Amino acid sequence: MEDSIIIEKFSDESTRNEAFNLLLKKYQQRIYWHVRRLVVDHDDADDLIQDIFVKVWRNLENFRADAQLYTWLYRIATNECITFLNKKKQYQKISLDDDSSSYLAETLTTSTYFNGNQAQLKLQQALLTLPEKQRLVFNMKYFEDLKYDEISEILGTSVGALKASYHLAVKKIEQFFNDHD
Amino acid sequence: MDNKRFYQDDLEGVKGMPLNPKDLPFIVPNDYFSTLETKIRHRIRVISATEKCFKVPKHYFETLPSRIQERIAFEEQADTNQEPSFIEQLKVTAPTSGFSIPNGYFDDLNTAIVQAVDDQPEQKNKQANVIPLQKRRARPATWIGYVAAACIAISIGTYTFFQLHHTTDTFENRLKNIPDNDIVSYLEYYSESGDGAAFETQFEGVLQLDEKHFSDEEIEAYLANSI
Repeated sequence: MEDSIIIEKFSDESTRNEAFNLLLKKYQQRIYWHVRRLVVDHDDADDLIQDIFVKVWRNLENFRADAQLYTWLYRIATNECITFLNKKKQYQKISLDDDSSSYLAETLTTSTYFNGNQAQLKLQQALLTLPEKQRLVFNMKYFEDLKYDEISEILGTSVGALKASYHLAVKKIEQFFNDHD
Repeated sequence: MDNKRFYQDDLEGVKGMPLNPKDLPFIVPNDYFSTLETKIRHRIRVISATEKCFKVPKHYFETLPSRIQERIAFEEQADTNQEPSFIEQLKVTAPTSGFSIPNGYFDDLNTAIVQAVDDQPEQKNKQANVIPLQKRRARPATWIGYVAAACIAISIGTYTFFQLHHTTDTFENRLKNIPDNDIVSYLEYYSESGDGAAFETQFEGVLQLDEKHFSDEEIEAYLANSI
């Protein structure tokens, strides 16, 4: 189903619910995994995904078709995740100097819903040593295979800066793998 | 002076251009030129003070060209869509994140989201109560009303005055109770790009950064994490 048709149906009161169901079917899994990779914990991701789509329901009417629908959804999801992680950091009084995101690392090791192999676990641990922005860029490039142009539209960052972020992220992950061999 | 002559010569060739630069249709704010020198001097002071209090990691400038070249090489590599060899190997051993979900999670997610949407209070259909203006003017104000209003105002004023001047819970006290990290964190996320200049102006002479505050490692870590 084309995004334009979903948006058109949503603008009509009589087909709004149908349009929203179509949108959910099309994007819920993609957005869930984007959120999950950022917040690690399934329950947090579950809460967030509901908040995100409630926001989508409220604002889709004002969505302007000059942007892609999925980049708009990603932007809402990313902002919600960053806000959530910042609140969590402040709540747990984690120092800004602590880049290790130790609470996320702890969640990863204690999570029931992680059944990755050794390499996947090590990759996630390495990712949690990265600053948030590098982690975001790496996730979107590595796992979701998004193009730099698309990531740029989602994050509002220049393509050059994204390439540098990805480059730094790759170097740090490689270093992490070498150090933890 | 020579420059002025030069520009005037140039302007003479332009049809309809006034000969005297003062006749040009541009205006500047009042006192612009009288305060310009002060502004420039202030700017120079800020720049030189900044240069004194900030330092860069050892060999920063020696290694900068190679790091820029490295970044250019990476951007070129990124343009050819070729991933670094480490990533290609990693995609074989760790193609996905390894996270899992409860059985049937996505089957129920649709319903959960629709339920969450339904649980939201309907904002659009809510209409504010309309209070007719005529009704409010139905009872003319009497002197009792004015006295009552004055009593309430005096009571609130007195209470507010004592709260402001006799409480130990002042702004400064509350600020002292907030951990430094929280303040830094707040500023990190809520500051604007122009705040630096305003801050500099406000605290000029008060704020003197001691270069011993930051180690090479801290500066390197900051630079590495800020791109």
